[in-house]
Amino acid sequence: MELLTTELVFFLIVTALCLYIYIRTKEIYELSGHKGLFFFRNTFLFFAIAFFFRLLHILIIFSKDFFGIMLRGEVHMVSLLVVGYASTVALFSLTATILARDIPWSKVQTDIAMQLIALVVIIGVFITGSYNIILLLNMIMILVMLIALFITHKKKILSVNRITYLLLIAFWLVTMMAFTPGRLDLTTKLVLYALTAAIFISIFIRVNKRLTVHGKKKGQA
Amino acid sequence: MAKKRDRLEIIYSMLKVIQDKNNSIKPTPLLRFTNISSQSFQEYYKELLDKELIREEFDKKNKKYITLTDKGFRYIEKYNLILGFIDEFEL
Repeated sequence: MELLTTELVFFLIVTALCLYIYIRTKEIYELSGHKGLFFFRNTFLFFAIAFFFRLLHILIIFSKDFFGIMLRGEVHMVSLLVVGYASTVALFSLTATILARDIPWSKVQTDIAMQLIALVVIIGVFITGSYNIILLLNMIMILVMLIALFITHKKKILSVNRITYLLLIAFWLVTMMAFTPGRLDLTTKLVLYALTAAIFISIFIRVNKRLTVHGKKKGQA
Repeated sequence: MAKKRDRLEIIYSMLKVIQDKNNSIKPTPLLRFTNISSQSFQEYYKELLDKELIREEFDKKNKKYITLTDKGFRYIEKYNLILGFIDEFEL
């Protein structure tokens, strides 16, 4: 039961933060149509979707233990496919956020390419029946991102933002590994989840501060 | 980076010109005040119409005037906020 509570609290915190960031940045995106903002918002939208289906997947895995219901393998597979799809799009969007200025394609073209690759990923998950393929591909994406950063930003490869985004990817991968039953003990999970939530909270604070401080200044003027 | 900021700046300057001219200006003076090439102006003008930041109106003599929409006014109001956010997160 502690496991379910931990997962539920983690899900509620992280998903609420992701959705807040997505909704809070809606207006400035609609006004500017900025490519980087588009990917930035998409990252958090797809993270929220991925975390939702991740929780659903956990509930399915433990449905017999928690609720006494044995769900069919197909349900298990569907939730896994959605987690794979949403997380891949989220990680691609995060990569595109970092590299938005250097991507020659329009945001629509880039988005279509990302969605197609994510589809290929879930086909891979479907064929193999294992989410390890998601982890493998996500790790490859981190490598691609680092190589791209080296090529495109020789002078200033790492900044606070890029470190935050890289940590976000790294901790997402860890949380993906963490939801395999028996792979990690509860204490380790708690530490990992707290660190992951801390990264989301730090981004939430900066988004909120940036969008609120300006409003206050304007109101005072 | 410069290109992206330039785009937002050009849009801002076009909208600001319209606002400063009592929210009513003909296309030719707008082009002159915006100080960009005619070809670029056409692209930006179409973008502003598509995004519903400006709209075209016609007077009794069927002369075309450009005015800001509510969204256009909001863009001017939020311009610094948008730039600040983009800089903060290196977008």
